[in-house]
Amino acid sequence: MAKQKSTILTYEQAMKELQQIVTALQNETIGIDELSEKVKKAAELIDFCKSKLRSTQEDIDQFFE
Amino acid sequence: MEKPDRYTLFELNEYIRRIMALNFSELLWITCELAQINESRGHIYLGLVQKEEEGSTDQEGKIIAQSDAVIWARDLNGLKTRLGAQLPQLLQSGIAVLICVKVEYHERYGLKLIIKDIDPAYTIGKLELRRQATLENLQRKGLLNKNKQVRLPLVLQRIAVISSERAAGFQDFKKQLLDNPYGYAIKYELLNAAMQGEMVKSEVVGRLSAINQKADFYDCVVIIRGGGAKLDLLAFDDAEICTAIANCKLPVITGIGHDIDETLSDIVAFQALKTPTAVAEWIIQKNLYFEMQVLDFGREIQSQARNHMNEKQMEIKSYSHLIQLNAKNQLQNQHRQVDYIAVEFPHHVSKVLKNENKLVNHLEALIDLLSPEKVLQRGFSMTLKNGQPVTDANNLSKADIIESVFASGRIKSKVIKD
Repeated sequence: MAKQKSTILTYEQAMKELQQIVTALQNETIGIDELSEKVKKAAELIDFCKSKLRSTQEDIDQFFE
Repeated sequence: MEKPDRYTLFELNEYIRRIMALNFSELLWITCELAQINESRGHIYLGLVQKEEEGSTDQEGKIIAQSDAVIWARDLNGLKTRLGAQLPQLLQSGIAVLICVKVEYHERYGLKLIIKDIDPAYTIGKLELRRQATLENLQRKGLLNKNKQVRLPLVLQRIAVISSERAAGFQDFKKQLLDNPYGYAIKYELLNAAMQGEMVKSEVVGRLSAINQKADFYDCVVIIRGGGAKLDLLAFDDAEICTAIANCKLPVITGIGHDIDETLSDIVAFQALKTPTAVAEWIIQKNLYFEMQVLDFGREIQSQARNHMNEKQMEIKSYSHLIQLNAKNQLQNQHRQVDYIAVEFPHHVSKVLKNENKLVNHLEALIDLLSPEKVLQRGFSMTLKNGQPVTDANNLSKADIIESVFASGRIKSKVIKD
């Protein structure tokens, strides 16, 4: 699945999505396929947050190209 | 000597001077407000005013009295010794003071009040009253908590800093921020403003207004300066500054370096900290907290995912187990059947055969026993009439010819009948 890197994420959005993934995992019974997808997405979001915390806007814009 | 019809100016002024000297031989304590302050050749020249009391509507602030004053260099030294660091803080425009003066009139320079002493307690008291009034006013207008209700962004990376470039506090702040141990990239923009003296109010208010126009550019506002004593910070009790902070669209964090009391600016701000370094630390901690939350989510997701995986694996295992078990059972059943056929069956068959044999033997023996030959040998004989066995004596009539069969031989007889 192609990721839309052009949409600039805010910290609030990333946090919200992570929360959603956690809730989904806690409540629903998720199939193995969807599970690995969600875990991948979560890892991406976390990486995004960690690097955005450590770079200025210019770097971010480059990151998102 | 005759009294002249007219006087020279000098004569008039001299006369006035003598009258004044006569009537104002004592020192007096007076209250007033300092308007201008200038230093020249070691002497301090001041303009004193008295304004209409606050409270009266349109007359508020109107000057109703005015005078020039001076602190001579020789008196200044004494004051410096007595008041120390408080002196420069007292000698600020806009401050209400209680001063001890000598009224003097000079032919050339006119009326001047020579300041001999200052009572700092009065000034502090007045400031305290004004501070109270401002506080109540802010409370009435609902401004005390307004800035605290602004939403603080999850991460603070774009800081608007109101400070003085030269202030030591700002340098500490900068260093703390840039050297943070977590490697966070935090950008700040310095909006220069005086942090002490006369210009504080107008410059700080001006900067806050400018920031409000560009509120999207920043995550929060920081007002910082190095430490100072009570009087030094009084600008931050000012109503205009407090109002501007309260109305700021972004959260305002203060670190104006004081030891004991809060200023009103601290009270209306989103967050008040003791020093500029503490402000930098606060910002870094907020970002750290965010990162910790994100990592916590990560761990939670990992653990949940692992649990799910384990569950699935367990399901698969139990199915395969079940299948295995079933297969084993079936196999065992087959074995048992085969065992039965291989072992039990022949055994069974031979048993049956034995029984049948026995039966057959019995039958044989019985047949043998019941065979006519054996019966005849036991002494019985068979009686035939016309070749047919006779079982009923009534079937025989007198003179019938019967044949008797013995174990060996036969004979014929005639029936005598009885």
